[in-house]
Amino acid sequence: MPCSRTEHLLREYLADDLLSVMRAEIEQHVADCPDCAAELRHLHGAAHSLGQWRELPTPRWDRHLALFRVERADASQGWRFLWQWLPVAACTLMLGLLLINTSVLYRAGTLEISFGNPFDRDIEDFTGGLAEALGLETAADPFDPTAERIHSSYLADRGLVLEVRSNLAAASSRLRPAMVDSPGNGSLHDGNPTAILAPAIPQQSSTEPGLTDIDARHPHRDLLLRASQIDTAELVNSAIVQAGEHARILRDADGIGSEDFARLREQIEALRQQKLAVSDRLGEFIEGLRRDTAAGSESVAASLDELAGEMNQLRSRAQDFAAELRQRSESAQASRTERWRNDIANLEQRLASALCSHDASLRQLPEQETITVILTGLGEPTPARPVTDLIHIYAQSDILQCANGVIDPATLTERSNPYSY
Amino acid sequence: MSKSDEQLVAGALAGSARAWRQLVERHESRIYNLGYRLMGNSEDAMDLTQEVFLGVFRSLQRFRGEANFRTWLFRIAHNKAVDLNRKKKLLSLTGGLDENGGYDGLESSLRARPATEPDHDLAALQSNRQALELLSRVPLEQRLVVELKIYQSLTFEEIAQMQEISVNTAKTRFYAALKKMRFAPEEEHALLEN
Repeated sequence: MPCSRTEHLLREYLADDLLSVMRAEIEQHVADCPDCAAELRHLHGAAHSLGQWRELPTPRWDRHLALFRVERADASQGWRFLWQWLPVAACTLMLGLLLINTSVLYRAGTLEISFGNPFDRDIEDFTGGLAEALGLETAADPFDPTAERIHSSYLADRGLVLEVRSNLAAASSRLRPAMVDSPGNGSLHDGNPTAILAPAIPQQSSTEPGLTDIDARHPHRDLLLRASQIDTAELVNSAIVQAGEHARILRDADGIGSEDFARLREQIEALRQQKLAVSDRLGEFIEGLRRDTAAGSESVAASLDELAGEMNQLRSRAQDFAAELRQRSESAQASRTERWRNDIANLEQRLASALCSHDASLRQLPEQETITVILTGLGEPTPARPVTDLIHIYAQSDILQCANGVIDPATLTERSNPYSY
Repeated sequence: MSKSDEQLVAGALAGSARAWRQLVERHESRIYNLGYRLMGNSEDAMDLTQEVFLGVFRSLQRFRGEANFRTWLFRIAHNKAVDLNRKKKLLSLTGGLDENGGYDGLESSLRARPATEPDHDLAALQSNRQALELLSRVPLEQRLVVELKIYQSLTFEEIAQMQEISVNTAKTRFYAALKKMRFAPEEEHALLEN
């Protein structure tokens, strides 16, 4: 007969403030009572397993720092005071800039006073010609942030900075995820990492979660344990998920059209349905075994082998399919990346040629200054920075040399030391 | 010498972004792991972490230093976990009660967790999966008691205050939770050998 005091005593035994007298009394009882001893062992076992948790690293996040800066900056009286001066400071700055950009020229016996950068008109002509040479004018819509265009700004003593937005930047955004981080990368080469754990983790079938409490005297205990160890979810699911991911990458890299993608999705769905069907049959088989208390026969074991075989076959097919799609998606990505790089090289070539032929309109730019060209979104993506710009800094002296035929446009590009940022 | 939590709170209240970052960095891992154990997946754990620190940020003024910062943090984490769980239940039309009357989605999260998740340390993966599997067997209110007792070493009195229940109820929840986490036969065998 089970001990009627187990719950009360063990609950108290776990208390923080248990008196030593009571502890001794409970321990004495547990030593004499097999029910309480077994229960305490279970409790300790559970607590032990929970205590094995290994700390996981926290993913990167901004720690609400942006929010903190916005809200807490207002909390400071000093800063609030300074904010009041912001409009005045802005006006002063504008006036200063206006005065700095005022040019006084003596031409043909008259004094001309002009406001703004002395090269303004030249720069406008220059960027217009450059946009035409690069074929960027067709989609000119100044209010559309994605439209192709060139923004220019002149910094005294430094030179001209041109921000060029080409439609290649839009293509790069589709390339980026595949180039930087391909889902499931490596996992198919080495097999599924959880497969290594399979013998160690107590497996539980997705259709029958309670197999760990099989009665030790059940005539089919061994078969039930074997059935519970057939992996019905992890490996097949993982391969199916990977197949889906690679199919998407393949489509995004222009490797297949929407119809082919739909067909791949159907094949993946068919695999998923087959997996569910085998899982269901396994679930029914286990349920049947649980209810059947008669001695087992060899045919029952053979049925189990058959089910396990089917699941293994399904897993192999799913893994092969995922591997094939991965190979195709990688190849499509590589082709697309190559095309993209060729397009960029071509753009750089046209840019250099255009600079060499358009220098005449920027004769006024001092020789020691530079023309910096920022090709927005065309830099090499990195894991840390998926969006980077490609930057060329052309020395005006090199541009003039190129215009005079001393160096060719390719050398001009080379001397501009392009880098991604 | 590193500053105390209370000093960092004072710094953050004075507008120091550095103090705030140090405070978050000091506790984010604890809260993220708490979230992972309560919710069963990284995404929800991160949601909880962000919610908790947003809650801390918004109530910094109310933290007077009378209570221990950690206990205060756990109180916020506790309340946010309950809220998040409630929201998830409301959003999930398929959610129902299991035989324990406390199904809250951890088990399904655990099962849905992709096998390819980048857990490089296989031993850690195994230990954590086992702990998550055990935690998935009990409803959130019991899981919270287990979390605060086993992982955060709070007293039953502190847990009772946090959950607004009696100390005896806290003890009963803890005992009931552990009881439902009866370990597998092979573990029992290993334990006996030890």
